[in-house]
Amino acid sequence: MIESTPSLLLGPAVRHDGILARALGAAAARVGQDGQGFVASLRAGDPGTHSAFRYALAQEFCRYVSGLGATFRAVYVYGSTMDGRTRPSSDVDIIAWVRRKSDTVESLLVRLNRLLTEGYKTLVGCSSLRSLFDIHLVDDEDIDCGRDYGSVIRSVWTAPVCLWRR
Amino acid sequence: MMYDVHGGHASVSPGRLHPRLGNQRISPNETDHPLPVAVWTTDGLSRLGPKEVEPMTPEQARQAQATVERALGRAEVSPYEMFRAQVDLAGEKLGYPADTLEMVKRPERVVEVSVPVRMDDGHMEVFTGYRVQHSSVRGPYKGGIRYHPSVTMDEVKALAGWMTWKCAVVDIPLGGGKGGIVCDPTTMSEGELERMTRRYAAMILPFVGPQHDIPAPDVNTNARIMNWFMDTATALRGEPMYGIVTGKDLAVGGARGRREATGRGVVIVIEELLSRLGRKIAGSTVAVQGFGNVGSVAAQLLHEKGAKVVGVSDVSGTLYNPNGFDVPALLAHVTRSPQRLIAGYAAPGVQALPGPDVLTLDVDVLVPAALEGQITESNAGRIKAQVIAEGANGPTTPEADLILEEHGRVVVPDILANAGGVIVSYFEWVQNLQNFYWEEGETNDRLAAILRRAFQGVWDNAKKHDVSLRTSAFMLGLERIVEAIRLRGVFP
Repeated sequence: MIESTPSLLLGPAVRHDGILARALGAAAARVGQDGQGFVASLRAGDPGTHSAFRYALAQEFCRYVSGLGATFRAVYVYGSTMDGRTRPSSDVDIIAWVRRKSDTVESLLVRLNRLLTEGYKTLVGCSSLRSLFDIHLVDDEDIDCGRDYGSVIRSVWTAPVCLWRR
Repeated sequence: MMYDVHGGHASVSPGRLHPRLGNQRISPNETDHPLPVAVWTTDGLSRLGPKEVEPMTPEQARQAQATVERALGRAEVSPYEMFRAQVDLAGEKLGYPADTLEMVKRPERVVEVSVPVRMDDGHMEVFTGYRVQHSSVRGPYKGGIRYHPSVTMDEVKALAGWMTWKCAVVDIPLGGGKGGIVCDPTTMSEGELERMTRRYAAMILPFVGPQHDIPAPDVNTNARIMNWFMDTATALRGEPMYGIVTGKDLAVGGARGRREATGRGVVIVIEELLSRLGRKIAGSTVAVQGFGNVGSVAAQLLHEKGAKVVGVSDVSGTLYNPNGFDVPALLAHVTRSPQRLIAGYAAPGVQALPGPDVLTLDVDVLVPAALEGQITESNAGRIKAQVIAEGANGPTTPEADLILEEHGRVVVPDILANAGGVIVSYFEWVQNLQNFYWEEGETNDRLAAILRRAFQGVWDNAKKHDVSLRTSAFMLGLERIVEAIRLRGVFP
C-alpha cells in the first residue's frame, strides 16, 4: 500500500499475517507440529487441526480487541470451534460484548474479518469460505434485556465460552 | 470542559453528552455484569488439556511467521475489496437493495494501457498504465494520476470509487476516476518522465476529455506533468484542451488559490466544527503534523485567525513553542532552508521534541497532514486534542478511530477535511470551460461556501443516524449517488 490512501479503504495497522502467524504458531505448538506440518494438515482438511487453528484465531481476536481501549468488555466463542466438528469452510462464531454498538466498531470488525478471511483462504487454499468470523455484537443493553445474542450468552443450549473478559 | 453538541447548538453542558460528536463520559464500573461464565485470559488458557497452555517458543513463533509469509506470498487484501465492503456496510444501514449497491460498487470502465518509452540510455521500457472511470452518474469522471512502483489495478479501482464519494460528499457535479502508471519516478530523468506522460496521455486520450474525464495530480505527479498532459491532448486534438486536466500551472490554465486549497479547506472545517462545540479558532491551541503544502497553509491560516500554533512537525522532527509560533517567520525559515524543512528554526521558547510527540501535545486542535497511518492504537489514547482534522489521507487507523471515539475526540474525516483540493480542481475546470478566470478571493469564497454546506450536511446526517462523521460522510455520499442513479434510471 502506497502513501496517500484514504481512510475506509484499508487500515495499515491491521496485518493479517501477524494475526494469522501468531494463531498458527500457537495452534501448531499445541498439537506438537511445526508450522509447515500444521499448514499441511490444514490443507488436508484435518478437523482437529482446523479446530485448534480456529481456537487460536479466536484467542488472537481477543488479543486484538483487548488492545483497543475499553470498548470491548468480553469475547465469547461457540459452535463448531469448540466441539471439534470444524471443517475448512467453517467459520468462527463469536459474540463480542461492547459497551455500546457503533458504526466505528462495526467498520473495524468488518475490515478485520475481511483481511483475515482473505489471508486464511490463501493460507489454507479454501476459496469457498465467505467469512472466517461470524461476529455478533452485543452491548450492555442487550445483555441487560437478554435481547438477541445478549440472551445467547446465558444460553445453556448454545453454551458459549468466555474466551476473554476485561 | 465538555461540550454539548446535541442539535448542533453551542451550549456548554456538564452532563452526559452526545455519544458520537462530543465527549462521552462513562464510569468504568457503571456496567459491570457478573455473568456465570468461565473467564479465560488471552495469555494462558485452556480447558482442552495441558498441551494447550504451552507457550510458543521464539523459534516456533519465527517458524510460524515464516510459514505464513511463504504461504501468503505477497498476497494482500485488495483495497477494492475493502471499498466494496465499506459500500455494503453503508448500504446496509441505508437499506439499499443489493443490486443497486452492486451498480454503485463496480467501475463503469477500466482501461489498461501499455506505455512504451525510449529511455535515456536508448533502450525501450514498456510501462503499464491504468485509468479507471468509476462513476459518471453525478458528472464527468474526476481523479488524479499517480506514478508509483506499487500502483495496481485494484488500488486504482478503489481510489476511483473513493473519488466518486468525495465529490458526492461535497456535492460538486463530478463523478470519480483515477489513473496511474507503474513506475519509479525517482529513478527517471525529466525527459523520461515527459515522454512517459505524453505517451500515457496519448494512450488514454480516447477515453478522457473536458466533458468526460478530467485527470489531476496525485502521488508523484504535479503541475508540470499536467501541463505536458494538456499540451499532448491539445496537439493530438488540434484545439485548445485546457479543461482536460486540472492542477496545471497558472500560466496555462491553472486556478488561483489551488496550491492553498487543501490547507484552506482544513481550516474551514475546523472552524465549522469548533463553532458547533461552542468554541472559536481564535484562542485555540493547535498542533500540525506535516509542514508541506497542506500543513503549512493550515498553520498559516489558523495563525491569521488567532489560533496559537504550539506544535509543528515534519520529517526533520517536532518543534514545540508553548507561547505559539510566529508562523510567518517559521514559513520564511522553511522557504530559505535548502530542503524546505523546519529543522534549525530557532526563536525564544522553541524546543525540539521527538517527531511523533506532535500528535500527543496538549492542544485543542490536531491537524495530521503528513502520511497515512500516523494515529494508531498505540498513541490514540494519549491524544489530547478534542478536534482532529485529517488533512492527510488516512492518517487515522480504524483501531485508533475506536479509541478516539471512546475518549470523546471528534474526527473530521479526510474525505471531507481535505476536499478543498478537489473543489478548487472543479473551479479550475469550470474556468477552463468558460475561458474566464477568477480572482483568488472569489475562489476562496466559493470554496468556503461549498465546504461549509458540506460540513453541515455531514454533521446533520451524523446526528440523524447516530454515527461518526466518517461514517456519516460515507453514507451521505452513497445517498447522493444512489439518488442520481434513481433519477437517471438505467439505460436501456
